[in-house]
Amino acid sequence: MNPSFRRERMRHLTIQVFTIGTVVALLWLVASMVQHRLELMGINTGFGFLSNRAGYDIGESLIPYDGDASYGRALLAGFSNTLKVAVSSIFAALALGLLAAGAMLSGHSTANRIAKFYIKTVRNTPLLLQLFFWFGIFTISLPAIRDRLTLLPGVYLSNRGLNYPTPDLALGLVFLLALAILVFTLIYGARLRSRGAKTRLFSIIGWSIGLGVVPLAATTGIGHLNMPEIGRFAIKGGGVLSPEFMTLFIGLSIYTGTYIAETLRGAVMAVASGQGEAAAALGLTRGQSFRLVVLPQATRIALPSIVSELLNLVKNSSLGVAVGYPDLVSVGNTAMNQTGQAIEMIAIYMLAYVTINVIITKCSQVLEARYEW
Amino acid sequence: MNGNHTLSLPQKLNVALFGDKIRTIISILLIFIAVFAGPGLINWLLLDATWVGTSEDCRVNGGACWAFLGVKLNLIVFGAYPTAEIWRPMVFMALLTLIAAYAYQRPRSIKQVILCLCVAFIVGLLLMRGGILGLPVVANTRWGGLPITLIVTLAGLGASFPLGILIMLGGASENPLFRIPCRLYVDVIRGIPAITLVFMTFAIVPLLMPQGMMIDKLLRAALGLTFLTAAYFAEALRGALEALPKGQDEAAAALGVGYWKRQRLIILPQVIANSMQPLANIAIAFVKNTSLLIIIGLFDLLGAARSSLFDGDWQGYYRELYLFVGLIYLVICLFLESYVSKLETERSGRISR
Repeated sequence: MNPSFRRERMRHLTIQVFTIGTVVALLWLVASMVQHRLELMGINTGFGFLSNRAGYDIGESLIPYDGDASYGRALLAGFSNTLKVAVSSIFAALALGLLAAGAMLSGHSTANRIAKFYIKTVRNTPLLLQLFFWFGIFTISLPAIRDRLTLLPGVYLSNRGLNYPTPDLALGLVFLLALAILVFTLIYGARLRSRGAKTRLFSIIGWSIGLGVVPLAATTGIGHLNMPEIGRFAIKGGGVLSPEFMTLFIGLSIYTGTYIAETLRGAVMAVASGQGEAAAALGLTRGQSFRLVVLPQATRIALPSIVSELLNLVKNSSLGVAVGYPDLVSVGNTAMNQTGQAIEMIAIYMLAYVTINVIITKCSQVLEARYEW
Repeated sequence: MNGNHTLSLPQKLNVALFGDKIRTIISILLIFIAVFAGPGLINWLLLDATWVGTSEDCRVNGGACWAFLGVKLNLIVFGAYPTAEIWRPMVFMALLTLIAAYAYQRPRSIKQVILCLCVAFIVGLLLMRGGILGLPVVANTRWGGLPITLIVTLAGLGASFPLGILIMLGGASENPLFRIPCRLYVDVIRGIPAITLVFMTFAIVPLLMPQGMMIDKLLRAALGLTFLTAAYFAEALRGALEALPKGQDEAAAALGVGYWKRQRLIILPQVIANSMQPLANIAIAFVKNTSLLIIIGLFDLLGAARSSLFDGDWQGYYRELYLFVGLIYLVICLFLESYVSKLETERSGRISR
């Protein structure tokens, strides 16, 4: 072997050994220091604390929880709240983004300007500031229960949140049935249409059954709605979305909507204008060309960026801690303050958010595969 | 068909607003919204608003209470900094504004701008701390408001950009000893919420220090954001690095140029120039992220502004406050945005010449 190469190799080897040695020594030093400090402060290590009694209350939770439950259960309750706000905000942000992108692409100059103004202002101010603003709206500016706003019969908006009627089990099942019929009509109808069948009659029957089931059940007395009842200081019965949830939901949707709108607009612009012209030459109308030619291609281009914006939304939901929404980070920080086990908590956060990341990324891969050609 | 130029203005408007079905629907919707919400908004913002006066005047008028901002301006912008000494952070901010104006006018002189920023940063810190030139000392626990936001932004961006470059280079290295930790770092940091990282540095860094050694609160807070932003910088730069033709590096290596010199003279200038837009977005995100410091009890711009709400005489004027503070953030971020696009047009003009 060429001696200069050998020398080079020796040099690399020496550097590597030296670096490994330094890194190991540093890690050992830090670890022993941390261990020493933790012992001095009387802080345990390991994940044993998860089964200890938490002893603090959580404002709201999708799973049963009280102060006597364990830290593990508290964190699970927080995680369920994170999922609740993240999932609902994802849909709202997508809808809002679609709306704003549509306004920018509509060719209506005023709508375009309004959408651009919305995007510029919301994107260039901190999300936290916007959350504080919405929190003020939902807790200070909305009227007290006595002067509540009635949006629909049984749906009340006040500074204690949004109260709405909930169906009991029987009616809930009827709702599910109606939804299933509608979804079946849509999907099976589309499949029939793609085979060239005439589906008008099928659709009419499907839609009327789907939409008719709920009123039918209501009039025949199968199940009933739990209506919220107004008390002097509280509203009992029915369901409630807390002001904290509403704050986070509205704030996250409006903030992330701007990013989605920009992504969608960019993607539609990026689909070569020749595509639209070719569609027009083939005799497709403007609507058809947009729906069948431009949109599928644009969706494919936009999908990766939209997914990363949705991941940001999930991460940003941790700002709920600032407005008192008991999400994972909020609950976890209380646990961290009580037990002092910061390192373990960070590991749990990472595990939770990485799990959500993996799920969303997998979903997007499935979607992406559908748009492959 | 007649060209648009033969149409009169009302006709043009008619086409623009009611030209086809979609536009007509949007126009009707917008008119409906304007009629429904417009008067109330204008009343609140302008007609019923109180521009100067007391909280009593605000209550009587019922509109926006801009007088509140006037009364609390010092607290909102400068936090708890002693009122008699407020000229010091003002001088610091004036310096930064001057540098910003200069940078905007002369997009080619980036090196001078960076040098000026370093000098202004040090001068600003010394000035705000005092203890020199016979100025009384103001401990940094009393600093607050916009100066804190600017200091943390400058220090954090200044530290995280070089760190991001190193991590990017490490991630691109052939040596797994560098590559794996760097890639892992970027993936892990980008996977967790910013706020947990800020918390973590706040809670864990003291544990890592030898006993008795305390790191300043301000520094610890900036540290978390720095670690976060370095990962994002590294990721943005990696994208540009992968787009760079491999021949650039190989040709330089064949000429016998050493590793660091190659990175410094060949790779980095191209990589940075090609990732201007994502880098600018990260810088803007940093400015916005400084607001997270409020959660660990630091009085940055948002924190100081929020503390002005706790005055019993002036309660509930959060809308005016957040609109005003939002405007400050908006100005800073839009300035960064337009500065970077100016840098880019200047550069593309130079290349095409």
